[in-house]
Amino acid sequence: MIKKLCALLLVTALVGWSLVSPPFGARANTKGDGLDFGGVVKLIESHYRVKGKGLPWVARVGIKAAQPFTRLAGYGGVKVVVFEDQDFTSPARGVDFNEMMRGALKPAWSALVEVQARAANEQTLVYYREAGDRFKVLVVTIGARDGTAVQVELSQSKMAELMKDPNKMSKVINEDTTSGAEPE
Amino acid sequence: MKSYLRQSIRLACIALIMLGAFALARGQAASNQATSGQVTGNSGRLMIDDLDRLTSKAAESVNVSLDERLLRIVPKAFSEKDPDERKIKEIIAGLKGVYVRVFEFDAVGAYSDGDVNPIRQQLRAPGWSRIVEVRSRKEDQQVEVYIMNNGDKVDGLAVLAFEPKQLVIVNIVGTIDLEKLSKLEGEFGVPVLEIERDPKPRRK
Repeated sequence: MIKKLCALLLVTALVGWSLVSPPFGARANTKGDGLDFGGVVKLIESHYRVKGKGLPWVARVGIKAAQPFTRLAGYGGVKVVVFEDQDFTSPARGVDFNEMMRGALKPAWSALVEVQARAANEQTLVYYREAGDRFKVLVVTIGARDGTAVQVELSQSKMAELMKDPNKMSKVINEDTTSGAEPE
Repeated sequence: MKSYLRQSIRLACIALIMLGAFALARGQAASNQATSGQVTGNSGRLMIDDLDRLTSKAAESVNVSLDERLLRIVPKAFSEKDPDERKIKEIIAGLKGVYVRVFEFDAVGAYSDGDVNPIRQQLRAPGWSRIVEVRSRKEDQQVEVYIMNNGDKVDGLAVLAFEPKQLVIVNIVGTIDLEKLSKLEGEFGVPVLEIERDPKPRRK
């Protein structure tokens, strides 16, 4: 009987602890982990039922070497996934992609620019988070047939320069990191 | 022994209910804290997220959010030598946030007063006042400019610009001089609104 009582108290304590403590996901968020780049790519893939391809490291180095030095100053930690010739016109129903992204990236990432052009079936989302004295910037661009997800680390001065015109920020980052490279 | 067990179960149930209530209360408190930190913590900051529902109706929408963390680094991009850039640096120094929403619609009447009323309601709160002697040089554009006064200081500014097929909301948080607002047009996602002081000011 005492064993049963102990078991009952243990179950009570465990259930109580689970009620009082935040869920595992929330705990990860409070540490500021948020969703990582791979998670963002998976989110795009599952929402639009598409498949992305990463740019090989060598290609990224090639892009860097090919770009004028001034444009690349301040960039680092480039991660790129491209979605070529895929159908982005029939996303999962009931959930807005933008809202879903916001929810998944909170609280570590903050939305900086969100542009949607319904007629052209295009949307561009730019999020950022602080990384020491640098900034991590995540750019997701989705069109009717193509898309890209890019994450870069920017120096403060590069970030400041790009913020002069936030609407062009995604275009500049995309061009600087993906132009001329073939996906894996 | 049976009654002892029954009593233990009853106590365990009470403990669970109390823990549940505590967890709910804590969650509610955390949620309230998050909301108040976002809205009332920044004087001059408007809640404009409700406008996001217009995104699905709009042919094109732009949402730019520059918070204090970002604005702190912006001066690095502007030169001290160029007089215009120096002025922009001075303006930014007093800012805590720039929030812009632009919606362009295919048809006239796609948005209504009802969509904008929640913002107007916030602008009726103490501290906010409308500047009447402001107009837009753009044809078909009606502009409402509001400032949040905190004593002698201006802690925030809101611009509501209406065109038949376009709606623009700009909320600038922090110390801002209306005369210098035009310097921010075209910068940091703030659209060119062509706002100017009315040469024949009216009294409201």
